[in-house]
This record gives sequence, C-alpha cells and structure tokens, in this order.
Amino acid sequence: MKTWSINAAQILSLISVAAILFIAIATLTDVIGRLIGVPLKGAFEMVQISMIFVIFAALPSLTLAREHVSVDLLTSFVPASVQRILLTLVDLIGTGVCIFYAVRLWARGNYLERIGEVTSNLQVPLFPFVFFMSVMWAATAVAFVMMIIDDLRGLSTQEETN
Amino acid sequence: MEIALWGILALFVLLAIGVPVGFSMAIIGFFGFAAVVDFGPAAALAGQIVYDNTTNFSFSVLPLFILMGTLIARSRLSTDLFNAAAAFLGHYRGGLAYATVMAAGAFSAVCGSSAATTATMVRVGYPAMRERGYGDEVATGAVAVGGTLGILIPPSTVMILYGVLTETSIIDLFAAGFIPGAIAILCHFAAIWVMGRLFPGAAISGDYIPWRERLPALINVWGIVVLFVVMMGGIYLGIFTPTEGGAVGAAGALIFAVFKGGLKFREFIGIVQEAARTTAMMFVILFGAVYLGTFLEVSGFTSTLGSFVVDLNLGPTGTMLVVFAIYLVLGCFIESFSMMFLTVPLFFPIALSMGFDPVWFGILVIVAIEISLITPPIGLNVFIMRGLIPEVPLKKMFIGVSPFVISSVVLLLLLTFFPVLVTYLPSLL
Repeated sequence: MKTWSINAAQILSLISVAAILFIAIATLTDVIGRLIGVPLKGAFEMVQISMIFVIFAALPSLTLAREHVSVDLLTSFVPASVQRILLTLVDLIGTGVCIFYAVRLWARGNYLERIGEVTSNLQVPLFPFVFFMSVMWAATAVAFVMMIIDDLRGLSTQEETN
Repeated sequence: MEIALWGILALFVLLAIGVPVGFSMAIIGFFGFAAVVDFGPAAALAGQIVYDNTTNFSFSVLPLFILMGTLIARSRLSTDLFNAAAAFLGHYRGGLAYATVMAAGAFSAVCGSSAATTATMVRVGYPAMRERGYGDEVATGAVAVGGTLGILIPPSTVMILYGVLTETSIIDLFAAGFIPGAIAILCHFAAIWVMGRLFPGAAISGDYIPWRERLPALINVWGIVVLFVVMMGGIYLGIFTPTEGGAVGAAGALIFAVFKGGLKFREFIGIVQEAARTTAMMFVILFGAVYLGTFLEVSGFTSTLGSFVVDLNLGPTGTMLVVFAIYLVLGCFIESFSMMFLTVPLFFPIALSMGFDPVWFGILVIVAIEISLITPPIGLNVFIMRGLIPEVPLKKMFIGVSPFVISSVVLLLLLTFFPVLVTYLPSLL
C-alpha cells in the first residue's frame, strides 16, 4: 500500500519538476528576448501560475518522505512505544489540517470562479489552478492516512513481539 | 492578549509532540482567530492566505536559487574550493578548520542556503580534518559555522524571504551581506585560533604548500568566480532581476554539475524534485506563520509587545539589543525559517519606528538566525551534520560549535554598534 502511494507521489512530483524547469526556461527566454528586443509575452503570469504546480504537486511526496519541519525535542526522550503513539497522533492531526486546507481552497476556487478572476495580461482564469491546490491538499491528506495505516501496523507488530 | 498567551502555550505543546511547525502554527492561527473574531472568518482566512502567498510573484525567486544551490552542491566545485583554501591555510595550526570556513564562505557566494552549504562542507571538510587527526569538536564546529555563512553571504534565500515580507529591496540586502560575511569569516577564524591555543591536540597544522602548487589550486576555482560574477554582475548592472539571476545561476550550475560532476539525467530529475520539496516545505511554514501572525495581530499581542519593548525606554540601540536577545532565546527553540516568518512582522515595525534602516535590521536578523542554526537543542546545521556523520555524538558537535556561538555574537554586536559595516555597500548602489 505504501509503495503504491510513494510511486503515485513520485509521479505527481514530476509535475513540480516540469514547473520548475518551465520557470527557469521562461525566465531565461525572457532575459535573452529582452536583450534582443523581443521579451516573452506574459512571462510574469506564467511563472506565477507555475509556482502553484511547483509547491502543491510536491506536497504528497514531501509528506511521505516525512520532510516537514518539526521539532523532535521532546519526542526523542520518550520510550519507543510512546513515540509510535505520538507519531500516529501527529499524522492524524496532519490529515485534519490537509482536509481543512483542501476544503477551504475549494471554496476559494468557487469564489474566484464566481467573481471571474483572470490574470492581468493573458486573461487566463485562475480558479482551475486553485482547484488544483485543493486536490493536492486532499492527496496529501491521503498520504497522511497511508502513513497512519503504516503507523498502526507498526504498533500491532510491536505488541506481538512484546 | 490573554488568548494570545494561551495560544503560544498551545503552540509549544503541539510542537513538542512533533506536529510539523507549519501545521502547528496554522492550527493555533485558526482557533486563535476564531476565538477573537469568529469561526467563519477564521476559516475563510485559510484559503486567502494560501492563495495570496502562492501567487505572490516575488516568491518565484525561491525555487530557482534553491535549485542552484542543490546543483552546485552536486558539481564538486566545493572540493576545489576546499583544496584551494587548504593550500593557502593548511600549514597554520587548525589550518584545515580555517580552510573549511573559508571554503564555506566562498561556496555561499553561489549557494543561498545554509542547509546545502553545511551538507556540502561536511562531505568535503570533515573527512579531511578527520584524516589529519583533528578533534571531532573542532572539525564539526567549523563545518556547522561555515554552513551559517550560506544565508549571510549573498545570494541568500533568507534575505529573499525578508525582502518579500518587508518590501525591502533584495538587491540592497544582497549588497549589504558582503562586508558582514567577510567579518564573520574573520570572527570565526579568531575562534579557531583560540581553540588551537587551548586544545593544541585537537587542531593540527599541516605541511607548507609552496606557491607553485598553490596557484594551480587557486586557478581551479575559476568556475565559482565566473558563476558568481555573471549572476551578481547581471543583477547589479540591472541586466536582470534577482529572479532572473536565479534562473541564470541555476543554468550555470547545471552546466558545471554536468561537465564537472558528471551529472546524469535521472539524478538531475532527483535534484529538481528535491528543490521542489524544499520549496513546498518553506511554503507550508509560510502559510502557518502568516495564519498565526494574523491571530497575534488581531488579539492585540503584536501591538502590546511593541509598546512593551518601547516602554522599556532603552534608547534605539538598547531596544535593538533586547530584540536581538529575544531572537537568540527564541532561536534555541524555533526553526530558523519559522522564526523569520514569525518575528519579522512583530519587530520590523519597532525597528522602523526607531529610525533604523530596514536593510540593516534585516542583516542583523539574519545574523541572529545564523546563531539559531548552531545553538542547542535544535540547531539545524548540527542536525544536518548528525544525519550525515551519525558516528559523531551530538554532544561533541554542540561542544564544537560553542566557540563559534561566541564569535557569532561578537559579529552581531559589531554590526549593531557599527551599522555602517552593513549600510556602506548598499549606499553606493
């Protein structure tokens, strides 16, 4: 189950890779274009929208790699069994926060669709990208659930060995 | 005000049980704001914060500089830098420790992250010192403090964040970092010198390297020089913006990683994925910090803290010393990026109201953050080393960094009392 989710997250994070490379190439093209008098039209907005993909498509793999910054100050002093319970609790809280963000961004997307928000130059509607943010938060919530399943398995095997 | 104190207490509980920093701050931000205002607006705030900060164009400079740093770390330019520095400094007592700090400083000129600088120098400097018989304390201390230079010497991701948060010119901030960076290297040299005197067995001197071997070693670092001159030169001559400088730098770093480091396509994809994860990690913290900051503001905590500090009546310099002392204490417990996001909205208005230069204040905040990277119990650089050389006990590492904590505080005081060291270069622009 975990391998499946890691693979899925890896594939998603390729979207981030494409977006970063796109930002770099669009920016370089704009610099060179400006030097020879033909700047890239809408480079600014394309970079702005690409940032959404860079950040949110990387969220599930960031989560599965347990690379969120946390302070493991107290946790390193408690016994391993308590650590495992705390870890499960932390992952539960993480799931909740991600679901909350997913719901709120979906609402934000709806709002932007209603007021018809578009980018200033290329007139691209912004709401689909905000829906993408919401979906990625939901995917991150799924990543947390996967980790909880893993945590619980660890807890039960630990009881067996005890 | 009372709600804010409860909120901060709850925040520490969440952090202590291991909830990610960004999530902890968002949770307290949400419930705190709901307690002061109402649940509806508190929830609506989430969508707005995430959307606004993601689409803030100024932040797009971050992934490119992060990518540049990760690529440069892969290019083996760091080994050349260390060898060149060691050729000149290796024969002094503690010479390889000097060389580590020097090479880290030079590496910082093309890498904007302390984590990347530390991770790179631990692979280059630590084995060399180990082989020579240096004590683990001196060796790890030099690597950790060398890593802090990553954010002080431009380019710097932390300067970019500060610049965006306070609407201060990133170009001015970059310029302002040079002289303090050079002084930092000298302060850390002094710390190594003292350590060499106190523990002669732990800091050894190497063989004298003649000039005919030094020059080739020096010429070998041309790549770093070219990359730095093109990127910074382009930014200062106004040919491109800092974001564009990041793109140019990343492209240059890619060329070096491919041709000098033999970077393969698969590995390259892995490096870009890593840069994306680092960017995402920073934004998760950013969202949380903005959420929490909004709550602290509506609860009246921010203004109360401001008037408390002003009412101490210590005069401008005295007030700033109190502010920096708060930074040093907070820095022991809060991770550096979170500290930046959290405290700048609190203290920046105070610094402005006392007539301080925003660029000067920014550089001092960065020096304070640098110190937080090496102070126990959660100095980030020390934990990065711990991950890469787990055989060295944490205790030895923290003993090793302690002289450099002192040299960093000396740096902070020097810059506080002689602001011209910071403001001189930007004033020439």
